[in-house]
Amino acid sequence: MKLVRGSDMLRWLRRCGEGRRWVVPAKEDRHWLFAERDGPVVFPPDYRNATVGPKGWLLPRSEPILYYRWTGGRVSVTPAQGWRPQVIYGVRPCDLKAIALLDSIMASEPWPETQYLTRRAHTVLVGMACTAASSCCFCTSMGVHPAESYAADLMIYPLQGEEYGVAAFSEVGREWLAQLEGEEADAAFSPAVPALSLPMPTSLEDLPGWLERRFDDPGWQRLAWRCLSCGLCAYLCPTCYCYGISDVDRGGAGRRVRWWDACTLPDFSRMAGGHDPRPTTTERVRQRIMHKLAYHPARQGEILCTGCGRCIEYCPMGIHLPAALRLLGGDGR
Amino acid sequence: MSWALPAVDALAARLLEDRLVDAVLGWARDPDLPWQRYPHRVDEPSRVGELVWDPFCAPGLAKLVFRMTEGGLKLGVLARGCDALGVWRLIHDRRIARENVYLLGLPCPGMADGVRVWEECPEAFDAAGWEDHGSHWVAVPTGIRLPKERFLLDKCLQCQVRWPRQCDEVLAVQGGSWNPFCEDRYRQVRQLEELPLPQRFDFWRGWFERCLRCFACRQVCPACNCESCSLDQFEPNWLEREVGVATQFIFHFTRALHVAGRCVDCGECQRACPVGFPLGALNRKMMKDMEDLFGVREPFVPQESEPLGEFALDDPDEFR
Ligand code: SF4
Ligand code: SF4
Ligand code: SF4
Ligand code: SF4
Ligand code: SF4
Repeated sequence: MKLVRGSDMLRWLRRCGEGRRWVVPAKEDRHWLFAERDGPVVFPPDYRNATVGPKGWLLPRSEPILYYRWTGGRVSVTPAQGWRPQVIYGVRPCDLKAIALLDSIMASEPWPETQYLTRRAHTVLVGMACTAASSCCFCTSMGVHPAESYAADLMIYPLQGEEYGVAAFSEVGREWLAQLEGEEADAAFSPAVPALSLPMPTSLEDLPGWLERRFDDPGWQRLAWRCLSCGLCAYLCPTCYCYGISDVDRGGAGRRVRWWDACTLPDFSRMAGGHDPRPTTTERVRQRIMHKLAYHPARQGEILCTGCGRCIEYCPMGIHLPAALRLLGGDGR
Repeated sequence: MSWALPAVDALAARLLEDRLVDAVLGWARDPDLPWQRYPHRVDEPSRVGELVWDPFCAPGLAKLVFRMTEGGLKLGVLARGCDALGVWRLIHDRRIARENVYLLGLPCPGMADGVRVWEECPEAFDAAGWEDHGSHWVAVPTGIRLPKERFLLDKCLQCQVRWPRQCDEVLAVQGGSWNPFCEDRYRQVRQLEELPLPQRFDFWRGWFERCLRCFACRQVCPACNCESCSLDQFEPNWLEREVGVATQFIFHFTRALHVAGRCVDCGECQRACPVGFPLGALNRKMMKDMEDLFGVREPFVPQESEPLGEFALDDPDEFR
């Protein structure tokens, strides 16, 4: 780890990231989100994490994947070029872990997502360890640590006052760090301690099995009856990646577009002919939670929730993972 | 004197005992998140103690009443001003049968942003009850004072319907007074109207870029009660799934125009939005037009017949 003053750190980062797009946490009105700015910034002390995380800068809300044109009965297709070299700065460990999860999902055979992977290969991730958690953070319950680097190329640890520690975790990170003048030292960093913890009914390893055994539990209905069927929880979630594809057609020419979808939306699982295997909010809320805590861990060995707390804080009807575990455990209302 | 929760409990219990209703809808304390209250349904008189009424009951209930009463359930609804108007919206839109709801009016002191109170004053949650002192909520017995100016939810800062109207019964609890923070309901609309066109365009474009199109605003809205929303249809595809400035214009203006003349100003869309989109400004622009063009004095109060919901043979404007 190199020790450096804040102003020197920003100058160094700016120099290394020359020519790249800077995506940084920005406060718009009263809400934090990741936005394009002309360089890195110092966080105000009340900044915890952004409402809208960096996911959209790797997997955009919608993007063209190809352009097509029909001429004389033949179609010509041009793949879209949807990337620019970028630095995403100030990413919290829960979101870094989420990006690591997305990386492996998007790279999986037989159909790796080349567009995501290309964009990812042109992205430098500068992480920022947490010194304070927000009221809904519960990363540690999910085995995520608020000072861990995960997908980050570089990690920043706020120390005392103006002092920061910087460490590198990849090739490009090491190249950048080599250009930083600063003293090499070990510094003690005291990470945030999230106040919220999940009421875990069993160990993390056993959770998928525990949930599978409760697939038909009436607790799901007691939780989900008040769900509004919006896409808020999935869109804010750093690990939700489901998408849909449709064509924007303008008379024989157009583009094929990929856009975020969400298993909580009412038309997500509706099939041609009208049948819907998940007809009510009970099946849909169950699907979202089971995908995170049961199906994905069972198949890939990794929990698909990093405890960022966004779905807890922002669900307009107060539906959240702690409530789910409690209700399924037969405790409470 | 506390905030008269026992009065709420007693009335809910009486309605259930007398079988006037099958269930009562209100709020319950979240056992995991001290600052949160979520919508809660009680079916038995012995369980009315699960209901809570304090300054943290943020979620609106009207949209839930719609789905809950579909099967003919008779529902008692704890209703603040916003909830009551939302339920009446659904009644006038023929989505709820009047006889299936019993509205228990709660004069409302305004609701607090729970997370914010939790972050700045967690001791507030040790209260046994609350009093409404106009500009403050005061915790009993601890005496902690929470200034409304600092902690009111956005939707409650802008609220003009604290008094529950058209209810079957109104509980004698504190609250319901005039909201000093909403003296002029069209202030923001006028400010925006005065902006030169390019700035006004930039203002909205900025918000359209931030909007995730998560549909929380639509899903929570009691005026958005169509069986099949035009914005969801694929054939014809009124709204492309592609999210860009143009399609966001279509999304937000379609919704604003579809609820024009029917929006009850409950502020739920604003509360649900995770990015703070100023939906209230769009809706109030429509309300202002209802006032200016049709002379409707309180365009947020549902009526049996409404200017935009009527077909008149002597309409001066022809179909063209
Ligand atoms: S969940 Fe953990 S890693 Fe994420 S912001 Fe909160 S404390 Fe940091
Ligand atoms: S759980 Fe909450 S955020 Fe998610 S779809 Fe339901 S109401 Fe929306
Ligand atoms: S499920 Fe909720 S807490 Fe977990 S990563 Fe997604 S938004 Fe964050
Ligand atoms: S709730 Fe907010 S972010 Fe979601 S669609 Fe509505 S305006 Fe957009
Ligand atoms: S548009 Fe917003 S304020 Fe108007 S009725 Fe719907 S949710 Fe309420």
